[in-house]
Amino acid sequence: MTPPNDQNHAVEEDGPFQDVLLEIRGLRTYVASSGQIGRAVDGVWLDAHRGETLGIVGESGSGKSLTALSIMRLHGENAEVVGGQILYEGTDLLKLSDDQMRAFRGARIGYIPQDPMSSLNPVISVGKQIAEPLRWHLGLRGKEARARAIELMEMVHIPEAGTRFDSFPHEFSGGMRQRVVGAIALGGQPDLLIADEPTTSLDVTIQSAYLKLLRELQRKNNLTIIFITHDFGIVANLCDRVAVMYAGRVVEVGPTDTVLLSPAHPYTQALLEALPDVAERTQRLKTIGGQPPSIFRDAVGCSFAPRCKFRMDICEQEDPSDVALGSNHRASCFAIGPY
Amino acid sequence: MDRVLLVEDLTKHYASGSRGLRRTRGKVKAVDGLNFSIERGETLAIVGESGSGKTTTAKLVLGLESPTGGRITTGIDSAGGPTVQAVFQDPWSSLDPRMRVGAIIAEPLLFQDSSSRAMRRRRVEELLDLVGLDLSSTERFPHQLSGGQRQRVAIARALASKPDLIVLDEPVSALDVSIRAQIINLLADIQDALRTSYLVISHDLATVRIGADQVAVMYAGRFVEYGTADALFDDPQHPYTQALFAASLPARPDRRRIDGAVSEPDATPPATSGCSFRLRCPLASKICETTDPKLIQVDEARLAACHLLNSAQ
Repeated sequence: MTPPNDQNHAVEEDGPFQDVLLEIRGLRTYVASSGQIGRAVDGVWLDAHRGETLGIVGESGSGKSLTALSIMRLHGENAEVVGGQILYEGTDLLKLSDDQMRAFRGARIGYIPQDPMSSLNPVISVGKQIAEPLRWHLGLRGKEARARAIELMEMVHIPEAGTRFDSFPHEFSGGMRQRVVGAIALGGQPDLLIADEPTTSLDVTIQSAYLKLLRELQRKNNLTIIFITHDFGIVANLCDRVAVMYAGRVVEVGPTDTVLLSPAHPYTQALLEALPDVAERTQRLKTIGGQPPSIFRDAVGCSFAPRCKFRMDICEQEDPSDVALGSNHRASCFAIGPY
Repeated sequence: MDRVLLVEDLTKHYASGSRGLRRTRGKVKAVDGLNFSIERGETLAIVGESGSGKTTTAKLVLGLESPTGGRITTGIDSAGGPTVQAVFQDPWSSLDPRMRVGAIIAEPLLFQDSSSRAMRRRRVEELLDLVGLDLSSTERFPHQLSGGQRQRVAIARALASKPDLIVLDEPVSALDVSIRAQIINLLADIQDALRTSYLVISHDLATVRIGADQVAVMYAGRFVEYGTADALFDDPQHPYTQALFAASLPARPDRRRIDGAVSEPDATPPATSGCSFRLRCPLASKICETTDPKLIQVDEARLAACHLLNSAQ
């Protein structure tokens, strides 16, 4: 396998005031499955600016979760980062030793996984689970750790935090469990919070309250948030910028309003047209024919070409390069740029 | 009009708070006096949060649970069973992994008196065509199909015995956006062609907006608002309906909102006296504490259970 040409990707045109916290440069994470190598993350270029909420949106298999896990270096044994850099304030996380990375996780980068039930230990009280990283990252012990854990529980609006310190995860509802996970993620006072579909299993009213909480925590703690989701409703309401992923790459990235109101990439356009809208009664939705490509495909040409209504000959022969479409908005497609 | 489902005073109570083996402390009214009906070719959507009783209602209609009280009237098919079928949320767990697609779809036909092997094969081919699957799919196992294709198989199986009514329990929630639209359109096409009725159970208001003719909003085992889809979506009246709509996030930056006017259900369980929603209701007053509001007609397009709407009349 020859990796596609990385020089196609221009460095993002950031204004002078945009302070980049995290830079993902040409990240490739491949997975092994039944003797085959799959290009699950296949050259992701993306920046997160300090204090912003960056949405990464995509369908299953687009590589959005594996991108997040690669940043945390929690991608598991059947996946391997085979190329690229992940620069956190200039430090390449991929070059850190396991011990250095362990110190980084929690203290600099917090992580909220999708399923709060499986990420909490069922036989340890929630208070102890919140207090444990405080010992690691802040050196707090005993009463100090307990007091700080209760503060964190109050910060994520868990009612009667003092008495619920000794409760176990099964005594909490789904929404409250996800708040516990949030308190754990923020315990080490990280600058960056990566949330991977944290509200997918929650009711809309609980989701709405949780997103409001995230926004409040962001303001209070000057957090940068990377929010992985498949839900454009969350993107529209929470994210400052959004990156759309397809087949292991970012095909479009820009300010949320620009991407949602004037999408440039044919895939983004098709996805947005396929969404039902609460406010409008329609009889039929527009659809995208076909299926997303297998990660085990031959990586020749644009991965969306087989489903794209603007397909040209060149799309099946070469990789499209990024086209800058204005400040901070870019998309990789032959049909939209100078070629 | 041709009615395919009539539900009268339906209740389902579960024992709760059991202490060891000895006795139970009380009961949970999962479904607490529902009345509704569905006409041929019509779609009723029941929306609500988890714990509202919407899934229990679906199970009762399907005969998977027996009611504590009330009546469910459906059509009867040639084998003497109710003409109701189901499609569930998760196509990964609702199909037998050891059966081939052809056998999965043909299985309901085995219980019909008159079906011969050749007739069944013809019917399976007809159904595959109807749901947009290749004839070669009959030989495949579920794990060889994508999520969208599996949901098509589940729909074909539900249609096999020509039911009057299909209960769709979160039929597209587990599917990706691009596949979701395909399945929603397929369900609409089938309804147009066969005049099948749907009872849709969902928490996703945007999806419900596409096909529903009638919508019922469920809270604590009861309908709090029930009427035409247009009336409920364009002008929701009950404070709970308004809260649900406010919490659903449109994918449009020009209609951005994160509304937190209503406390979340975890923190505030339904009230056990007066109006069950009053502890979460921003508009609750004295009468809401003492008197349980009845579901009554508030305008020509809907029923609602709220004192505020009654006094406005």
